[in-house]
This record gives sequence, structure tokens and C-alpha cells, in this order.
Amino acid sequence: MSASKNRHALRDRTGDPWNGRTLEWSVSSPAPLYNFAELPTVSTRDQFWAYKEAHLAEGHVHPKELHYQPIHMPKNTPAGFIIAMFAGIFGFAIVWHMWIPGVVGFIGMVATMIARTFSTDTDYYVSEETVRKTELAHIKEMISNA
Amino acid sequence: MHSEAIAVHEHHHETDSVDVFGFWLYIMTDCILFGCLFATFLVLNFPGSPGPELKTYLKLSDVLLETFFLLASNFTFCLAILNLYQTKLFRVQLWLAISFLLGGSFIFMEVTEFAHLANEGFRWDVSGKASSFFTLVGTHGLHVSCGLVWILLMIMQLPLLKDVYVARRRMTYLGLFWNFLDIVWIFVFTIVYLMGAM
Repeated sequence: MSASKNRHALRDRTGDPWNGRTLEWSVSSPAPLYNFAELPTVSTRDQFWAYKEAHLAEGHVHPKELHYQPIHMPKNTPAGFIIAMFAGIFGFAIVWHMWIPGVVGFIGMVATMIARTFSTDTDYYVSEETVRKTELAHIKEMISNA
Repeated sequence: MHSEAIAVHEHHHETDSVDVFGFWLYIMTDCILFGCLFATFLVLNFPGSPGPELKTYLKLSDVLLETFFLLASNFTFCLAILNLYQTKLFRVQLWLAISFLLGGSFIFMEVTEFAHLANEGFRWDVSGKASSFFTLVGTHGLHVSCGLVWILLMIMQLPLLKDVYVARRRMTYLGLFWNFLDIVWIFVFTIVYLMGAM
């Protein structure tokens, strides 16, 4: 009851409520759509802990020092979902020897796959500015909750 | 502006190598699939295993002709790739069409051979030997049939692809797939047909 009533006040905004040791705690919660702004280089087992000891001891971050690259991302597509639906119909139908829905499911699957190959506009870049804003918001939350 | 264009261009190459690596992973999983089918075939065909012998029904000269069709289609596919890099679109389509016809001949002969074997009494349900034969050779044939559909799609889509890198990447995938099926067939020809006929 208490947890449900106070869920907004108690919500974690840092992504790292328990002072975590490993990299999954280093991103915001929920994670940004690109996961990591830069590919992390891992040199020890508890990489995020090592990072905290090295950098957060200094206590501050200069926003002007943050430089990011645009991030290459795939666009959303319903193709996978549609193929899965047709595959479900196909699988169910052939288990029960229902030939007509089986054929419909199979053709639907293959046709969706083929239709998908006609699309070449399947990726985009998250701009450097968007990445910078997202990361900055996360850093501000971490500092204000530290 | 200029440096931006170069950056995007380079990025294309970067992600290309990642994507091609992904396709290699797929080829590796297919290798495992065929490896299992070859192992099953060899185990079920140990000397003295029960059931009718494949070699009494086999016309080895037909299988040799099939092999030539498939190898030739691979050669003509490589010619298509060469023309793609000289951006001669019509010739690419022409060589792809010839590859399709050769691959189609291979499948036609294989289906005819299967029908012949089944009619003569070497059916997939008579023995473990026979079912492992039809599973192994049939799985390869199914792959080649999918490849044929893919070649047809490629002939249709090549004029639609605005980006030359996309066309090259897709042809690279198809080429890997088609070459891979050729290599698998060399093993099928050696292990199933030549060793089976001896």
C-alpha cells in the first residue's frame, strides 16, 4: 500500500539506486533508446565501480566537456510482429492438419518477409545534440541525488 | 559538408562489415545443421545396415550433370558480381537470370531423381538409410530453392535500389549463400553419391 501510494516520490531517477558495480547501473532508468552513448571500454570486472572511483571522486562534470557521436539506430518496423502472428497461425494449423489456414499462414509469413526486403529506409542516426541532452539530464539527476 | 559526406560514407563501410559478419554467423549455423545431417547419414549408412541400397537405383551420370548445373550457376553468379562492380546493371540481371535457370535445372533434376527413386521403391519410409538420404539431400535442395527465390527477388530489386552500397551488400549476402550451397553440394556429391556408389 505504502509502496504504491508513494511510488512517484520514491521513484529512482538516477538509474543507480544501490551504488552498483557493473555497467548496467551506469545508464539512466529507463535506459535511453540507444543504451550507451559511447561504447564502454571494459578493463576490469567491476567497470562502473572503477569509473566511479576514478571520476566521481572529483565531484563535478563540465557539460561543455561532453562530446558525443551521432548514434546509428534501426527504425521501428512491424514486420517481425506480423511474421510472428502468421507463424503462429501456420504452426497451429499444421499441428491439427488444417491445410487451408496452414497455407494462409505460410504465404503470409513469406510475403511479409519479401515485402520487408523492398524497404531500404531501415535506419537513422540519433543526432549528437539529442544524445548530449539525454546524457546531460541523466548526469544532472545523478548529481542532485548524490 | 564535404567532411560530413565522407563520414557517412565511411560509416557505411563500418556497418557493412558488421552486417556481413552477421551473415557469416548465419552461414556457420547452417554449417552445424548440415554437419548434423551428414553425421546422421553416415551413422545410418554403416556397412551392412538394413534396407535397400541407394546404388542399385542410382544413375550417377544424372547426378554428375546436376553437379555441373550447380557449379556453373555459381560461376555465372560470380560474373554477375564482377559486372555489379562495374555498375553494368543489365548485365548483372542477365547473369543472375542465367544463374537462376541453371539452379532451376538443378532443382528440376533433383526432384525428378527423387520421384524416380520413390517410384522404384527407395522411399523415405523404407529404412533409416533412405530417410537420412532424403533429409540430407532434401534440406540442401530446399536451401537452393530459397536461393532461387532470392535470385528472382534480386533481379527485380536491383533497379529499385538507389544506394549502390545496399545493392553490393545484398549481392554479397546472396553470393555467400550461393557459394556455401555449392560447397555443401561438393560434400553431398562425394559422401552420399560417390562413396555410396562404391
